[in-house]
Amino acid sequence: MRVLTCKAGQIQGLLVLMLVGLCFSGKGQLGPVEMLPEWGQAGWSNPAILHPSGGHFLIGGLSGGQFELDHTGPAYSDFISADGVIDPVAFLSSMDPRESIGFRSETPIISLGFRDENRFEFRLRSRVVAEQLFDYDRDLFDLAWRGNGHPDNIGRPISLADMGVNSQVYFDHGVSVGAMAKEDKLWLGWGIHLLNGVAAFQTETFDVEWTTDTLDYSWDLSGAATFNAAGLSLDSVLEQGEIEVPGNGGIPNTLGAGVAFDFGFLWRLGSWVELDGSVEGRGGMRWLESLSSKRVDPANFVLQGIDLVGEFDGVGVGSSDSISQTVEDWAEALTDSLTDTFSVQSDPGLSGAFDTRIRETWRLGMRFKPSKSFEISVMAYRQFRFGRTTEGGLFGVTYRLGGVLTAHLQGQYHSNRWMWGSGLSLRGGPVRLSVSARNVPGLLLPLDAGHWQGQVGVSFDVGYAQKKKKRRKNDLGTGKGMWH
Amino acid sequence: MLVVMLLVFAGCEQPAEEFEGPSWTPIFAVPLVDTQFDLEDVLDVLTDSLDTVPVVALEGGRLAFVHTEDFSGTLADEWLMLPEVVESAELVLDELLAAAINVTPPGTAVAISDSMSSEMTVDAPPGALVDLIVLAEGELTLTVNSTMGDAVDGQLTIPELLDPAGVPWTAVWTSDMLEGGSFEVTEDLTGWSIEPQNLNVQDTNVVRALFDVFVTNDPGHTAQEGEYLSAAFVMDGLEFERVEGDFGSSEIYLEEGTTTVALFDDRFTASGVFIDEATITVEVTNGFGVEAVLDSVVLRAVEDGTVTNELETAAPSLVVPPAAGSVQSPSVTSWFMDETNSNITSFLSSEPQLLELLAWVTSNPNGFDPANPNFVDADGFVTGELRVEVPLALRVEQLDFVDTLDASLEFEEEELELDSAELRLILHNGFPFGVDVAVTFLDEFGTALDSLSMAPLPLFTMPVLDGSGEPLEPAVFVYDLPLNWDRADRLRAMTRAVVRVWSSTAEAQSGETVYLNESQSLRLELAAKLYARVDL
Repeated sequence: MRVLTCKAGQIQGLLVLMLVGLCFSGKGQLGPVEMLPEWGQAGWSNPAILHPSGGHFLIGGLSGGQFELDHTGPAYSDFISADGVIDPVAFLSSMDPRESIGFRSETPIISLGFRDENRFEFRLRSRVVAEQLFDYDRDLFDLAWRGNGHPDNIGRPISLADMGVNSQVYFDHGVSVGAMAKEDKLWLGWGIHLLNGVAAFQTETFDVEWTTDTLDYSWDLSGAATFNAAGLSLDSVLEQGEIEVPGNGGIPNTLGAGVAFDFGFLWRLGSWVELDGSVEGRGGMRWLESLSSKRVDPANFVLQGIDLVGEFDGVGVGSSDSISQTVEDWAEALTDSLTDTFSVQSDPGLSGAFDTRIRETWRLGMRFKPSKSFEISVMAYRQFRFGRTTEGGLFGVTYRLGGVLTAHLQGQYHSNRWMWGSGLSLRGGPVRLSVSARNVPGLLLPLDAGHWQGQVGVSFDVGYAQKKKKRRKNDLGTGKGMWH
Repeated sequence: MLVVMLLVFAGCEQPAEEFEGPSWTPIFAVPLVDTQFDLEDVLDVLTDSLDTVPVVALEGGRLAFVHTEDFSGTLADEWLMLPEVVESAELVLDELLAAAINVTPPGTAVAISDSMSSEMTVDAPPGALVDLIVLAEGELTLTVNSTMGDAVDGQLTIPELLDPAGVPWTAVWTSDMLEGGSFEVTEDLTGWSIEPQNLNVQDTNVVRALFDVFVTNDPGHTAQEGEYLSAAFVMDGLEFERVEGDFGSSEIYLEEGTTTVALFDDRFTASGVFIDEATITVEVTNGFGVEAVLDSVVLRAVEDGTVTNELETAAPSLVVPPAAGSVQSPSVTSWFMDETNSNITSFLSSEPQLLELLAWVTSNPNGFDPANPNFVDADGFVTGELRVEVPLALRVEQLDFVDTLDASLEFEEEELELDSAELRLILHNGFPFGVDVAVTFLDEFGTALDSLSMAPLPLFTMPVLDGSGEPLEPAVFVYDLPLNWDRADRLRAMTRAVVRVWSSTAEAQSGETVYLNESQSLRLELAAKLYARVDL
């Protein structure tokens, strides 16, 4: 039985608890910031949706910074009881074949946006994005728990092909616009990201497979791997165990460059229902400088046990010393052979450029607005991150009190699990404060589920705090929006 | 504020202060041994390398038991023995000769000549006529004694004894040398040669000595009847480098020898063993410059001093050519017997048997050819190699094997974090015979502690044969031997293991003969499942 206590003295352990919770928590991909425009630059996921203020201006790290750490595997309470008994079976049964630990932070430097009522909005921003994804395989734990000789494992190719580490840090300088394409019916948006890469580590390929023969228990090992890095010397990591920090603490050099694009639309089907969709972050970078690469060429190794006749040929088996020496020699030769088979290759100074993609999200949703203050939204999404694809769906309820308060509750279904998020955006005069979390239970009960994702934003908003006096409907005289 | 509240509230859910990890038993499957045995390896293992016959691959890949034995045969210095040459002669003054010397004017010499001869009678080979002896060593000694009062000079020549330059040996003496009444001359004969004369049937291998004596009348001495001068020469210690001549017809023995041939040692009990093919080859290497014929071979099985079986053959005699020019170019010929010209398949037994071989060749069976004289070099030889070859075309209805081996099991339990283990034995039998094995482990008192299994294990599972007696494909036998600590504790007391083996060739009861070849093998695989004990 789990115990809930509240002791002030335990606050100190909060960070540890949070880390545990984060490392063993649930699965979340999208949150309020992706659904509503009140979260400023953090919410520019659909450039066709306009910000509620007439203009807004943000400076510094808190002005919309996001930090998230996701673990797709079992939560703490999935396999550890309240009194600390670890249940490996429960751990394994809660796992998917592949799980991952992801980290992503977005630190804004500056952003601003201007809107012309509901017809046009221009946005500009710069931010630093750091993201990392470590994928691991359930078979890794399965091997440790049941062994390769377990009836469920023997004879089965145990593949660790999904494992890998990918990370990158880059500056994202973006411009986007949203514009009404058809009067009060259709809004279109478009954005471009100019990407300056600072550092990257890429698992280009990682393919390891281990099959234990059901008859003679011989091992068939095959594998290949390719690792690329920019701004990080793999030689120093492998040979000296040291990681050189890009830029040595100063302003990092630009080692890669690229562009990415956003596209979006908002189609008002009726006075109370809207259809919206977007593609965010379609693009990537090409890393060109300070490169290093390591690879293990595709190879296959079969371990079949010692060849007694061959090993003892000419040696004789007269003494235990000769046997042990021969076995030692065989083991040494085996190790050498294994090392040679899967030798790490590199081409110093000749590493080629490599490409990485940034996180890309496709969204399609509908918004129902039965009243001016109340909104119900549903959305389906697919997200691509370091070659991994995740999908999910969510629904949300939003309440707006004039231009002062926006409260949002949402439920999200992803990977067979529900998560519950919320967000709050407050505006007082020119200052807007916004906070949100994708999975609130993950914060309240970090041992049970949820990931950790938080967003805090402070912005200076001008205009449209209160709805302005309505213009006459045909003030523009065209009735065809901006692009006519 | 909301964030702070959330964070504070989040701190209310605490992980356990202590964690309790389970104990579990992952199963690790590991290959231990994967090796390929050919028949020789298998026999080594089965018979512990005792009294077994090596197996070799013949042309075409077929396997055969092969036993070889070298007989050192006859060496030249044992076959041809050089005699010593000893001869002496005496010159005695009679009344007339003494008077003749006395009336001779002083200072005038009376010349007296004579000769003596000696026959080098060669006992081995008997009746050999020698034309040339090149000596490796030897010594000649000439001794001259004189009682004459007059001055006596003289010389002695042996025309058949030639120095390395071809000059006959000659010794010259003066009267001064006989002042003491005698003198002796020696000559090292290394490198010298003797060319005996074969004058006729009676006078053979003759070595002559010719001497001339000059007696000068001493006015102060009156020669008396009975005074004498004697000369004797001896050539002894003669060792030849090479001998040429007509060695006649005699027997050259291949040394008599015995050897034990065993297809299976005495730990096997065989019944219904049929050997279809076998050969015996006697390979004669002749380093003599003498043609010979191998016409006498006796090969017999002996048990407790009694001949139990004897090889009978209709094979023709083997003509052994002479060496070509010298011992450096010996001739090699083989005498071959198989099941077509002998009783060899019934002569050979699957059980160990002591074989006794006697063989000799006869020289010059076709008479002497003066155009090709016989010769023997000092390091000349005649040897024989016996090779018994039994191609493995066998039919064995039953072959049993029992042996007791020393065995022990020692290990430190602390080093093995294992709950238990399961040893897997896989045998891919590519041989056309099957083997069942039972192993019982005994303690020092002979009490059975454990066994591999209740019933004999068909380790070498009998494969299915094709029409030519070859296995279609290896027959696979898989056996899992569970090992746990109870069993291990029992086996700690093990001191011996009794191994019992039952074997037969495939389809032997129906008369099928199987053929073993080098492409057939036994693949042995050992693997283990280790039930490891892991405690967190």
